[in-house]
Amino acid sequence: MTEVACELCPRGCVIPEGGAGDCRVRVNIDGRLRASTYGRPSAIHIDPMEKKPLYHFHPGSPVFSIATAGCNLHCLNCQNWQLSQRGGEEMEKVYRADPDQVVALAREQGCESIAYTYSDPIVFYEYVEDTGRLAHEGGLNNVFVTAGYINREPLRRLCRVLDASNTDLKAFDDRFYREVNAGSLEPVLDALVTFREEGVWLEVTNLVIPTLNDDLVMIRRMARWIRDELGEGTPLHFSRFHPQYRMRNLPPTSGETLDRARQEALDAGLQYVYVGNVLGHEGNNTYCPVDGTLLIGRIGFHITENNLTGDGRCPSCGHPVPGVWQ
Amino acid sequence: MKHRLHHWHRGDLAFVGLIAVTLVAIWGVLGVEDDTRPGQSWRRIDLERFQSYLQEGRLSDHEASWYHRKQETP
Ligand SMILES: [Zn+2]
Repeated sequence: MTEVACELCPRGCVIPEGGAGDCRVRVNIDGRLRASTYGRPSAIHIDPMEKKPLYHFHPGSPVFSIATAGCNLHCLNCQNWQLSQRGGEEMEKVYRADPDQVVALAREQGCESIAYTYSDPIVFYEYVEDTGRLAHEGGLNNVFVTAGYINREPLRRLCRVLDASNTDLKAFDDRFYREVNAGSLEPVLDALVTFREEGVWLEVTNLVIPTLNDDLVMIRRMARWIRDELGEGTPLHFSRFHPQYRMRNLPPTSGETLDRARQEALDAGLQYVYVGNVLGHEGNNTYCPVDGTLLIGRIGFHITENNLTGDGRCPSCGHPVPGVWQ
Repeated sequence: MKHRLHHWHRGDLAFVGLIAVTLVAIWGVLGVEDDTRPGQSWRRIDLERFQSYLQEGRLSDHEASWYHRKQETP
C-alpha cells in the first residue's frame, strides 16, 4: 500500500490507496494520484464576462465556462454544492471534453475566452493547465474563477496560462475561513499577491454575509490590504448573500449594508468598488475615479453604455483605467 | 461565609475529575472535526463505483501533478 501526499493545496492531504483527497476528485489508485475529472466536466455554459464577475476584462464578451465535480473548500453557503461537494463518481451528468475539444467548442460558439469556474478549478488543475495551453495557442484567453486556496508554487506555474482571475476573498478573518469555509486566510492572501506578481489580471469578490463578515472595521482593513498589496486600481466586488445550502438561518444582505461596505472601501482608497447581484444599483457601473464620469454602465450582466476610449481611458480627463479592454 | 469553607471530600474530587474528563472529550471531538489541519484530510470514496466509472470512461485516470509517493506501508 503506497500513500501519496498531495502538494497542490494547503490541506496537504496524505491519501491511502483507494482514497481521495479532501477535494474528493484527486484519487490514489495503485500508489499514483489521479486527476479523476480530467476532461470530464459536469457543467458547460456560455456566460457573459460580467457574470464571473470580471468588469475590467474584455467587457461584454461571451465566455465558454466549464467545471468539474469537487472542491477543496466546504463553504456552508456554497451556491454550487451539488457540483462542488461531490466526487466524480457521484455525478449523474458527466461530459467528455478533452482539452482540444474544449478549445474547439469555445471557438465554434464564438467565445474568445474560456473560464474555469463554478466549483473551484484548483481541483482540476491539470485539465486547466492543458486546456489553457491549447487555448493560448489558438488565441483564446483563460479566466480562473477561484477561492485561491492553493499552494504558491503550483499557482505560479499555472499563471503562465492564465490571463485573468476573479478570486474570492471571503472575509479578512482567519476564524471566518475556518468556521464557514473549512479553510484559512493566509494562503488566499498569498494567492492574490501571486496573481498580481505574475501579471494575471485580477478582480476580487467579497460576499457580504449579515452578522458574519459585514463588520465595517474588518471591511476597512480588507480594503486597505488590497490597496497596499494589490494596488488601488484593483476592482473589488461586494456581492449579496442569499440563504442557501447549510446557511439558511441568515437573511439576504440588505442594500444598505452593501452601500456601507462599498463606501468604506472607496474611503479606504480603492478606485473601482462594485456592488454585484443587485439589479440597477449604481455600484454596477464603472466611474472615473478622477472626475466621476460614467465610463461603463451596466444593468445586471448587460452593458448599457461603454464610454471608454479605445485604449481604456476616461473620455473627459484621459485617466487610464486599469484592465484588459481589447 | 465561614461555614462554606470546608475540606475537600471524595465527592468533590470526583466532580472535578468529571469536569476534566468532559473538557478533554470536548477538545478531542473538536480536534477531530477540524478540517483544516494539513495532512489529515482524506476521504473514503465508493471505490467500486469509481472503478466502474473509470472503465466506462466517465472518469479519467490522468496522472495528477504536484504530489509525491510516501514510503510503502505494510
Ligand atoms: Zn475622468
